[in-house]
Amino acid sequence: MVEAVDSGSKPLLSPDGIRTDGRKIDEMRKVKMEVGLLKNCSGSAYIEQGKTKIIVAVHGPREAHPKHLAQPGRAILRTRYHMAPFSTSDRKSPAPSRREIEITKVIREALEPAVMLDEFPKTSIDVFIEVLQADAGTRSAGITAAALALAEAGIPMRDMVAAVAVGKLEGRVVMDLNEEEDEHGQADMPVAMMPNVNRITLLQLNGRLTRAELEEGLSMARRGVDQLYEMQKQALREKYTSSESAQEED
Amino acid sequence: MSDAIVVPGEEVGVAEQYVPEGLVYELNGILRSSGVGRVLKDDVKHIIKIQRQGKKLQVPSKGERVYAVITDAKPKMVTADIVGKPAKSYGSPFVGLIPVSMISSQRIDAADNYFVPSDIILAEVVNERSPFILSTKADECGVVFGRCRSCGDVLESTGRGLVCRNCGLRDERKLSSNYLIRSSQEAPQSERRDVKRQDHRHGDYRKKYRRQ
Repeated sequence: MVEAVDSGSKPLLSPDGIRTDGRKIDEMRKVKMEVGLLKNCSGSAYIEQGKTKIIVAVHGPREAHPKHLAQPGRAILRTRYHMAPFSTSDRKSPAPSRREIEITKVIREALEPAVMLDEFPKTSIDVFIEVLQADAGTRSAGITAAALALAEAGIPMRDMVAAVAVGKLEGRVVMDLNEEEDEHGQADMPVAMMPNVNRITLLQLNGRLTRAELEEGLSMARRGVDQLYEMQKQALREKYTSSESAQEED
Repeated sequence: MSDAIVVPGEEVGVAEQYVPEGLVYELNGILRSSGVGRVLKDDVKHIIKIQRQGKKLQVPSKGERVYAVITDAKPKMVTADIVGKPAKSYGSPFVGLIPVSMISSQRIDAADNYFVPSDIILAEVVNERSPFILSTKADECGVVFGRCRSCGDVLESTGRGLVCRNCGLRDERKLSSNYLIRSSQEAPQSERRDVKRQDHRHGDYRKKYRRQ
């Protein structure tokens, strides 16, 4: 006789604060960042956050098409968040879903305050975010990688943008949810910040948090953003300290 | 110059001490980098800027010589697609405008007499932002490759204008001193005055002309 496995009965957090994947409550998944992988775009970046894998390409500034979209005093920032058909366990239709359209919008709004769009009137800057493998936290990882790709493209920015999700498991606030925690947890709150100018550019909440939990979550997100920002700096410095790429490329 | 590479948002100085220039901006009295690069501080002039590392933005900049393809020519204004600069092409073209006053240092009545759609020109960018204003006043600036208004064949420079190598039509452009296609009959500069215009007519156009 085969016993039915009840995944709901398995605790997501042990009494001593250890999660199912062995992390502590304020520990992020392992993050890997790389810059400048693609040659046919202005800037590109790759991020791995746990099992989430995302590649981002930036084009621009270039003439805005169709022309009626062009703004006389600034560039327009266009984003495209897309999950590859093989990024999920079930095949995902390549057509843009309602969720992808929403995430496209929130990512654009998270990046816009950081990019100096008024430097390039009547042009467009296009950010393509392609999720290769999804394991929760794709919008936040996408924002972190998009900021890296924009910086690599040489587009002037007020600050980098880094994002991380905090959530609630078994009544406790935790950082950087994975797929299982995202699915069965009590809350999920992605937060994007400009770490130097200390500005929040994205704050969403799925679920319920008390005021104290919200404050705890924000301070935890801040610590996560600081860690990610250090990794972003490291990735950019590694790219430009090598002798070949140190000079300004034509 | 500092060896450390700064990234956007990093503090590089204070407004009391330095004047921000390229890739440095001021926010609440603090000077921050807006790009990836090395910090250059001039303690005599009190200027701070960032020397960009890596890719340069593929956008025309003021004073740059660019190649453009004429897309429309009207008496007062010519529009062109800026496709690249010498040895580098932009990913997608930018719109450039050439007002009639920017074509030549001499007076010109109608811009469309000097440029035809499809002409490839070398021009200088005179402003920073889109739409880019182009000037062809310099000797090296102007049409570097043109086609016949009548038959579409290549126009050859004879030293005294342009002649279609197919139909023999004579045409006029604001020519660059580096026009690409030169006639084999092109006379050296010193002998040009002695060459008769009719000598450069050849092909079907000349035969047709004679019959009439």
